[in-house]
Amino acid sequence: MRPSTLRDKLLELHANQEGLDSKYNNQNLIRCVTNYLHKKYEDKKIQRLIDDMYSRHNITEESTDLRRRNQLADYIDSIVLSRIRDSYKSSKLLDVDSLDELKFKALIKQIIIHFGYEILFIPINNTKNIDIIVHRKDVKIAVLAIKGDIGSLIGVKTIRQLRYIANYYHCEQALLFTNTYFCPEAFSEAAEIGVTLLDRDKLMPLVKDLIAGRQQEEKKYLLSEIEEPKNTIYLEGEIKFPKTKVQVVFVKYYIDENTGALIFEGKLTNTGKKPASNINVEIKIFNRNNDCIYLNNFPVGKEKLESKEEIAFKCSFDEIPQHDWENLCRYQLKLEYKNTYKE
Amino acid sequence: MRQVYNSELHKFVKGYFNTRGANIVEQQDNFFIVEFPGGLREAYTYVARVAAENKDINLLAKGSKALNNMIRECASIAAFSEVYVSYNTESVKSSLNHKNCCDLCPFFTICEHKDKCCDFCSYYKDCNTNLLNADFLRFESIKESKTLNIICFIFLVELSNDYSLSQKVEKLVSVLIDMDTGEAIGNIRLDGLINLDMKPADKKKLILDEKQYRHFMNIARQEAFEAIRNQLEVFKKEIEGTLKDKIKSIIDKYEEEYIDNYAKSTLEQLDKLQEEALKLCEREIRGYAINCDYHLKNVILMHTVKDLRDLVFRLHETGSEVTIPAEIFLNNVMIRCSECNTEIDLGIICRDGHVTCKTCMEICSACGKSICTVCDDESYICSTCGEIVCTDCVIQCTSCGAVVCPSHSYRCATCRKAYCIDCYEICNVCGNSVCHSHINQCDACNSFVCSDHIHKCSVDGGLFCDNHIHECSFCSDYLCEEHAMKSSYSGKIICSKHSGECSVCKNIFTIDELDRCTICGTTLCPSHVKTCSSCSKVYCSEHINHCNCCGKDYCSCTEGIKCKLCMETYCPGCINSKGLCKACEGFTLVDREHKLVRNISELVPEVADYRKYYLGTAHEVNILYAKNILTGHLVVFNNNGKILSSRKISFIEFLRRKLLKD
Repeated sequence: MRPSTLRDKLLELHANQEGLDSKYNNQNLIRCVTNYLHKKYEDKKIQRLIDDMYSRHNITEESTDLRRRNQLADYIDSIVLSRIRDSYKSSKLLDVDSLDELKFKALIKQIIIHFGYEILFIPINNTKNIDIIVHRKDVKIAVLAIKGDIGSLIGVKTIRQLRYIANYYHCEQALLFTNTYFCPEAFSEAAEIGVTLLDRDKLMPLVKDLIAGRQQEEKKYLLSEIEEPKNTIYLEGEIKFPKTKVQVVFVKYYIDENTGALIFEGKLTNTGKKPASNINVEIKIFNRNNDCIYLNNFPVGKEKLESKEEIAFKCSFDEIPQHDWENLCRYQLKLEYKNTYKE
Repeated sequence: MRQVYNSELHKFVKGYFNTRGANIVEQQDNFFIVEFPGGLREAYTYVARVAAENKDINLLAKGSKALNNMIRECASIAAFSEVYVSYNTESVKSSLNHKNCCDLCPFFTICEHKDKCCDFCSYYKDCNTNLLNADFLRFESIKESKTLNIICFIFLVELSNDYSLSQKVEKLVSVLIDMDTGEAIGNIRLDGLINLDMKPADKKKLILDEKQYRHFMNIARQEAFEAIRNQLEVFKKEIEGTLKDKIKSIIDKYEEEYIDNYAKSTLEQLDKLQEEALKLCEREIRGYAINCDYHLKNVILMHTVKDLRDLVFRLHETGSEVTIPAEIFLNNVMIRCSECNTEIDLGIICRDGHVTCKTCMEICSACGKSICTVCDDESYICSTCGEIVCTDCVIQCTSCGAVVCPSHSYRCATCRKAYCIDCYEICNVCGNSVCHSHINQCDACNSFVCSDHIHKCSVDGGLFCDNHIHECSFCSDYLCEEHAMKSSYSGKIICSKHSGECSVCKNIFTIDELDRCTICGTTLCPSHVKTCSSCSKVYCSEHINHCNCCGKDYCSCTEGIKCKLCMETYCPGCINSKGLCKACEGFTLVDREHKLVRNISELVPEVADYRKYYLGTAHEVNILYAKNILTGHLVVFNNNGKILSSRKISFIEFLRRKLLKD
């Protein structure tokens, strides 16, 4: 799973706006690219980016394909609803395994809606993305459904990737549904990084509830209340890591109640098969004028991060006075490290 | 005829009679007699001549009524055959191609783009195994082989809604059942069977009793229903809208009627009305019911194998050969992802022979090379567009070190180094990319410009772009807008060194446009300089004489001569031998109402009292002579009507001066 690329964003824009000018002089396109880059650039630079994207990809045709998929997705929803109805009429439990991947995802969507979650956003191009973003009680939740082969186990990698995508969309929580089971390490990892796992055993009661029109299993499996911290601050986040091997599993920030300092905490993992060394984390905090006003650059605890190994990091911005909190707008986390791949 | 009794046709005919419970009781050379249950006997022949001679004998030949009836009857029940099926290179090759849409897809009827099979179809994964960067070459050793006896039921399924919408969808659904386990294996694309090798079974190998057949048939029907279920839903959704509208219109109509009749009807009548509406709705719903008919068209007993076998592929990128294990069953090739072990529908092979599925695969957005997650190939994410880039294509920003793809790295036109979007600017004039070290900013418009298009003002040293800089037309020095001067005469741009001011009009001119008066030395612009027509020296207007008669200037080199009649001074060229100027020479009689006469009369009122008027004109001067019998008046005025002189002159004096030489 990867966060949306600029191409995905342009496709999304095109798919949503059928009449968008194909000569791409539309202000919407410029706004879309600016939003993606999180920074205001000269119009000429943006135009150059747009020109490049249009010259390399057939955005208009691809977006037509996306629109078609969306149109067919309605039919998939309708097929799943009919299966639910059939299951209710025949008093037989819906055979989740007989559904293909798209129908399984549609079933999870119905469960989510059934339990009162409100859909915020459905990424149009979700081949390597999450399925839905929902919200409930002011908590933004990323939802991913994985239809696995019977007997297969979902590993830690998927959970980390989900957390990473959830971070990208600024979701506080993440829900991962599957028709199979998770490997034992997945549960400890998920609990640590705020991902709720729903395996076959937990999913089936929810499916039963959905079919019967009840909501009794909701509290048991789906909802977990979030404690509201006293001092809150909201920063838009951007994670930059030029190489793909070492990834940020999660990152969170909060104001320490005792010291009043802004703390950043997170965890890194080496997803590659060779060790990575000299890992350095740089956190920049920007004000509303997009000027970097605070910077912290620090190495992580270990010199060498082995393959599949995880490491936590923590840094504190003690120097930010309380009256300056409201000026803070965005943070940027950048990873620097050396791969030992070539050695 | 005896040979015919050994033919395939006779075998078919015999088989047909056997299934009908009939027996061939007599077999002659030219005909045979069949006895049907109940004792009915019929004679048949394969020879047309025999049938023509005897009307009681039915002909069994191509196109004959009896044979056609048999074929039709068999087809309506189902054809049954038994074959040995095996895959071959061609069938595997065609299995590895991306399939086009077929009518198995539930969305086939509604989808607008039927050119390429997509994952919305439930069979997509079963039908498609496509490797993006490799071509199948040949088979390698078989690792595991399992013999399978399969019974394949082919149904023609008709979905129709004849009553209200006249919609009809027909599709062929095949169901494969393993005869040993009795489990359904799945569906198969019928067109995929064409490439398979099929050999008819020599002798019936499998004994299939009716009970077993019925059992398989029931399973097949169930599977066919499951296969068609999605299609039914799509079909239903299609007509749902129309049905809803109809029901709504019925309800609306009856609601209106109910309200109208509410006060004046009995409860029984109102109930009746409601029932009537309900019945109409039910009828409408019944009308929209979808009929789903299954016709068994064919039953094939297949003896085949399911092999786990190595396949050799050639990579597009390097041309090298790699071996991939695959499971081959009929026209289905199953390859598993080396990373997540799921069956691939779309994948790529790395140079080391790892196959990755579309979820696990990474492709360099710049060169299209596969980045294998199993081999742990290095990959990067472009900080601008977020696309994946391989090690060979990745570019690092010279300034900030950000990683970018080749499309989003910009080379500085000056230093040729690569920069990211944050560390370069676009020249406002030529559009070239320039890094922050080599970019300049115009002091006037603040736009970024490259070193080729930035210029330093020679006066104040400020930097300005092409649009805000000027060049002195004499010394080619660069001048900003503040220090550039423009000639009022030619419009040329000049610096302060090469400009001058006209002492008369005070405007700015280039130095070569200005002249100095020969006498007083004042600076004069082309509009205010006077040139002697004789010696060509230049003068200011104060130091040169002007001949009103010819309009030329003349300086002290030429002495002016007075006209003896009008007493005005002119250049020597304008005075004739009689001492008269050109105007005085050419007097003509004009009317009192002449425009010039009237104008002069207003300025010099005494002129109005004269009886005759003579007017002489030359270039800038006009002379009017007004006369009575003896007295006269001579007025000299220019083209603007300004009176230059006015005096009385008697007619005799006028004639003497005009006609007599001195």
